[in-house]
Amino acid sequence: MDNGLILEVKNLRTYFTTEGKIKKVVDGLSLSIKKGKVMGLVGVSGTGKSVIGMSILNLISKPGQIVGGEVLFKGKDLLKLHERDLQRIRGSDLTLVSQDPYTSMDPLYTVGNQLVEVIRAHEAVSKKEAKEKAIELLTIVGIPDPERRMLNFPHQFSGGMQQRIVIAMAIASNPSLIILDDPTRSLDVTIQAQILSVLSQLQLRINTTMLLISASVQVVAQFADDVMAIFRGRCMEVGPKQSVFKAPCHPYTRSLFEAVPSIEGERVNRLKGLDVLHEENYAEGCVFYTYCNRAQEKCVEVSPDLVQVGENHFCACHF
Amino acid sequence: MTDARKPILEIRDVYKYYDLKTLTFFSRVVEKVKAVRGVTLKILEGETIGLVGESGCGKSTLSRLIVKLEFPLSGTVLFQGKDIFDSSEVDQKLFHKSIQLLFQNPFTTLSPQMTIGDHIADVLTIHHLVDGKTSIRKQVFGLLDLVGIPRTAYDSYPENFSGGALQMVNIARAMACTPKLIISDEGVSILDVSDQARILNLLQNLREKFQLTCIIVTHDLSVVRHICERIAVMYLGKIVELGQNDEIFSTPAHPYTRSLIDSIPTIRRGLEGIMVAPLKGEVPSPINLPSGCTFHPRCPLATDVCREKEPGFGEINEGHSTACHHWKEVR
Repeated sequence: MDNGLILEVKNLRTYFTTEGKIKKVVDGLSLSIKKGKVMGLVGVSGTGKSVIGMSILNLISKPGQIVGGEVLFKGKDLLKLHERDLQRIRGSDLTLVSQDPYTSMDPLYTVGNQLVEVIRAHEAVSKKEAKEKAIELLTIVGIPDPERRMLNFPHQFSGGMQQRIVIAMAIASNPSLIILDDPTRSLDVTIQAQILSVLSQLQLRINTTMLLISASVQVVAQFADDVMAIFRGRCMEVGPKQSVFKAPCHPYTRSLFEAVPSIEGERVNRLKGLDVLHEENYAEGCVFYTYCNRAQEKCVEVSPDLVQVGENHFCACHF
Repeated sequence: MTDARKPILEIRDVYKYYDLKTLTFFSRVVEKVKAVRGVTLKILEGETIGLVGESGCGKSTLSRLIVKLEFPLSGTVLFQGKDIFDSSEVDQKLFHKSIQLLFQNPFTTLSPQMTIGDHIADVLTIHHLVDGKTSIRKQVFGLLDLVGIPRTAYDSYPENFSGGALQMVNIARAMACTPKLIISDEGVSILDVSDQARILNLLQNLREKFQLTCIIVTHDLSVVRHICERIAVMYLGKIVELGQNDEIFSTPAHPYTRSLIDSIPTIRRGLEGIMVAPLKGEVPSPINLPSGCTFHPRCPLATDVCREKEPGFGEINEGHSTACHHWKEVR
């Protein structure tokens, strides 16, 4: 890997087959993340964001299947690796923080135990040294009184605390890339703020490369460097955060921002959601056609390619 | 400027505790989960009011008390002037049609084995609302039109729809009873922003069309920003601040409200690199409440008086009340 890219996804296609029908959940997605950067993936629910994350980890199982593309992690295509090699990478060099923290932990072992296990799986250290590192990690993520709380089981922590522990486990092995799939989804707003704060401090401190997947545009705005808007498994727009948020090009991206209820400024009478404006054009054309207020005849038939609209800023729209 | 509207719902000093029985080696200990600790609130006919608070604040318990899914330990609730817990005063069947509750999870509140149409038709049948002149199908179509769901959904199953669409079906079911009051208990929390916007817009439209009263219960202040006229903030079983929407946001009078506002990530703050300012600590357990003002362990303005004496809930401005010893110092 000599181009500074930790992750390079090329033309990923993941299809799901149910009852003979094929659903192209991810259809030709490409993205790349430079070392030390945070890429934010935003989109409405059901557009395939989580599936992209799982595809990168090569964790798609029936009825889904990765049918094409490459996932280059530090230069190696994860889709071509043997399961044995993948298992060595997953959980150590490439980790995942998912939506529900409780399902990411083993309910039968103490938190300390689980952390020590992760640490010792990747470093040749004694139990004592691993314990000390575990305490350090818990302190970094903001668990108060870590020496005592290491002896607790996952269910003895609140949701916010559980998520912090999962983050500690995700960084324990000094991974090259962390995938976060809507990590604050199930949390109350003040706890979400705490987690976002922990994550951004981590970013500053250890400069981890991250892929942050979220249905919340505001969360992504908080600390992503680059932003990609996904709709129906395809990239609608991608670029540096400042560029995409200040000058969104794609009607979909614009509608995402307009739907966000702002707590600053004047109150609006009506929020803007995604309204169905045209008949579905299933097979051909632009995937966003049905909801697009700028759609014209060309959009029904021809699917737009990504066009450069600014520095490192691309948009998939005919206009 | 006083509001000329009459109260449609009056919650008077309601308390609700739950018993938590733990069997220890020595004895059976009964602890009390103090979910609601003296809530008094008047809700005016036709208004949209937000009830905001995080886990453990008692807002869901309060919603359930209002629809009689729970009974209070003490205090009472008056609907249109009558005590809802007194069956001689209020016609139970009429009551349950008049107040409808919209639950949080549209995926678990609809049966995967029934079609969308059947779900709505069920409501009409159970409440004997089937009009002799029009068929059930037509009545359901009317309701689907009302919420903006295509009629073709009648014979489809829930699995084919997004969370937002399903929640609209739930609203259709609620509207089938022609209610006077709708309570949305975290009705949009698990939906993404686009679906949230659709649901909130729909509730607004219905409110204007039918003079509905809406209570929006949520932990997310940004949800209530645009559609609620008044906002009540709850913490550990009590209302800690109540006021007009604009005033709550521009001049909050309780440090917890201030924290809630500061915790919301916004695009602007993100672009300017301003991090959310998190409130430290966790919500204490409603079993072992802190002394004095229950917010003091997390409060940046806490002093000795806060640890010893629980602040009363008082009006600081017309229509704006708070429960804080140091409300003047809240930015």
